[in-house]
Amino acid sequence: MNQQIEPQRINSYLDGTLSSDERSKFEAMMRLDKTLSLKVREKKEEYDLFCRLIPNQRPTPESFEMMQTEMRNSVFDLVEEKPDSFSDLVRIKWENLINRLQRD
Amino acid sequence: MIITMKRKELLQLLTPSTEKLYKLSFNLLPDSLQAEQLVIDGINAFLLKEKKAIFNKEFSTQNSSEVQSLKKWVFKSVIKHLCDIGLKRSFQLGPQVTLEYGDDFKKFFSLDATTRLVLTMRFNLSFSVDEISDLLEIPRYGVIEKIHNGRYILTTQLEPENIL
Repeated sequence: MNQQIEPQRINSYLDGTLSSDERSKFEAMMRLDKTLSLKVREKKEEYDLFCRLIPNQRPTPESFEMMQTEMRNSVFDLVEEKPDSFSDLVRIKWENLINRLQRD
Repeated sequence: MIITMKRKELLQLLTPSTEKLYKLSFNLLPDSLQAEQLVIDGINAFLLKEKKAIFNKEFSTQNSSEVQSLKKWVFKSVIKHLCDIGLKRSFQLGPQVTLEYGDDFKKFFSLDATTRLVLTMRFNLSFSVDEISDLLEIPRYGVIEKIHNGRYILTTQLEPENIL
């Protein structure tokens, strides 16, 4: 059965470019055909190597912290919450104060 | 308990995405300062443009699938804005951005900016082709083409300009 499957089809499956219908059919064929399933597994190993060619750069701890702080400041500076009640108003004022103090 | 989104909840939803957003930004602008700035700009654009939508969101804190889908909405919305700004900036800065890591990933960074985005979204962030098509506003076949071409270039010994 695997003779009907072109290598291109295995690539498309691993690329995730098949439609959901095609994907289901392909997976059903894999369940029935052990040779195909093995071929896919081998190709998957090549794919794992290929994925290493795409940078996966993590931020440094300082950079991460800086982005978190900026993110927090942006949320507090750019977004104004409307209070639903008096207690909500107190909460908002309190949060604004804490955020200002943390910044200073 | 069903609650409306507040700043605190928004921060909780945004925070876990920081590292992924940075990875995507770095693959677009391979300079740590530029990448950090792009993450912040993407978040600012999201906050300014989606303000109304953000605070109209109601969700149940006990329902984990609702929280997850909200988290995904926030993540995808930020990415949409980040990509929009990042692609423009990548064209503007072009060769001004020099690789921080010498010749590592030289081939990847010689690909065009959209292909780099598509490959990162597909293989590092596990987005589906349809999601990428929606986020970058390019047709499905365009995404597939970029994945195939990008993979081909990265896995062959040829330089991009020599591949038809």
